[in-house]
Amino acid sequence: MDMDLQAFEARIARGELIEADDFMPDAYRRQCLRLIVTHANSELMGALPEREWIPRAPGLGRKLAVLSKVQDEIGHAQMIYRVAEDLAAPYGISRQDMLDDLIEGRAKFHNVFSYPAPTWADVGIIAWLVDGAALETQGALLKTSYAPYARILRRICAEEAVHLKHGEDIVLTLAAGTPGQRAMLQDALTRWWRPLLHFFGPPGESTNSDAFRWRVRIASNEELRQGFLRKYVPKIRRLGLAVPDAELRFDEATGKWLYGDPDWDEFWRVVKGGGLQTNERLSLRRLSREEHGWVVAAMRPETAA
Amino acid sequence: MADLEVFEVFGLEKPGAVVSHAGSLQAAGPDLAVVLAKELFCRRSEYVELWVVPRPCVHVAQRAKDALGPAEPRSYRLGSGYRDTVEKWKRFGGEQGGDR
Ligand SMILES: [Fe+2]
Ligand SMILES: [Fe+2]
Repeated sequence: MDMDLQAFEARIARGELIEADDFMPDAYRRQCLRLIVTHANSELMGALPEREWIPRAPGLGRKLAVLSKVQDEIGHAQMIYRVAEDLAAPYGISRQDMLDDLIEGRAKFHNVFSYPAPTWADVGIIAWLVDGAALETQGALLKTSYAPYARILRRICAEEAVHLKHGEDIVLTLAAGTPGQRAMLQDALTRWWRPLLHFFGPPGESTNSDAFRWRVRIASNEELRQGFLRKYVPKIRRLGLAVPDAELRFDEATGKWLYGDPDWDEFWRVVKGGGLQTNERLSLRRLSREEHGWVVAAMRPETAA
Repeated sequence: MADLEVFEVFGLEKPGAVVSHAGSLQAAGPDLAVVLAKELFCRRSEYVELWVVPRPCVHVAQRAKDALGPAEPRSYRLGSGYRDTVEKWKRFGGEQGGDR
């Protein structure tokens, strides 16, 4: 083992944080980069299902809240791509390259953003439970060893917590509403339940890996999913909603939630770009880039000077 | 095509606060950097003042690499190096010691 790697391993073992200019093994840089770019892509793509609801949100208050959530998510993407750019600099990869990879279907983003949001209740479920799931993942990542990511995650998590409150408020309002509104809410939950279980990825990956030892990853997929189920299943049931999984139950012996097979084949199909709305959403992203190209151009040095 | 510059963004959370690092961004020049910094870091009025600094202007010294601070502990530079004044005061009467 060379000296640099040895010193790096020792720093990690002491619980130290790694800054952008510090020595890091290439494998560490690549692992961080892959994770962080996927996160940035997901923030950007995650804004799209809700963006569709800005013109249709019921009332000015809700419209402003959805608008500001979308703005937050785009802001998250901006901050995270910035962290990724510094990591990718030695490879000569720019933000533009990352956005090209995304638009041309070469990069991953979160499975949940490939599903449609047909009703207002979907907006509530997304903001409450998808942002809740994101907060599980990102909350664990606050302990990442890569300092620039940890710093930006503190701000992001604080804002995600607001999104969750906004979602909770929509869900509580619908749950206390007319039978029609409650039915709409139940339908949305039923639609989103499987994608939500998929959100954390399949169980059983090895935590005995460089990624875990180096604190690029903090919690396993299943640990995160269990954290999510522990928090949200009781709340969902308290609202009198049914979780669409006959096998879902809390196992006293293991202290874990047991759930029915959520069809991991479907998960892999979506991750590989075969989601219901993967292409539609990516075309929307492409369209945004074309339509807003003039803003980007206006902000280029040669124009702005 | 000229490149965008990287700016480090710092801010004061309230008047008189210590300046802290908010994050970084890319922009074509300081004016646009300020516009973007407001959008990125101040949507909830988090700061009363924002600074944008071109990254090459930030020069860093690190404890580990650049011997920040003395190599040996130097207690005489710190208030904690004079804790026994509490005992010393007791010779001059009173239980408390010192001026607390
Ligand atoms: Fe976000
Ligand atoms: Fe969010």
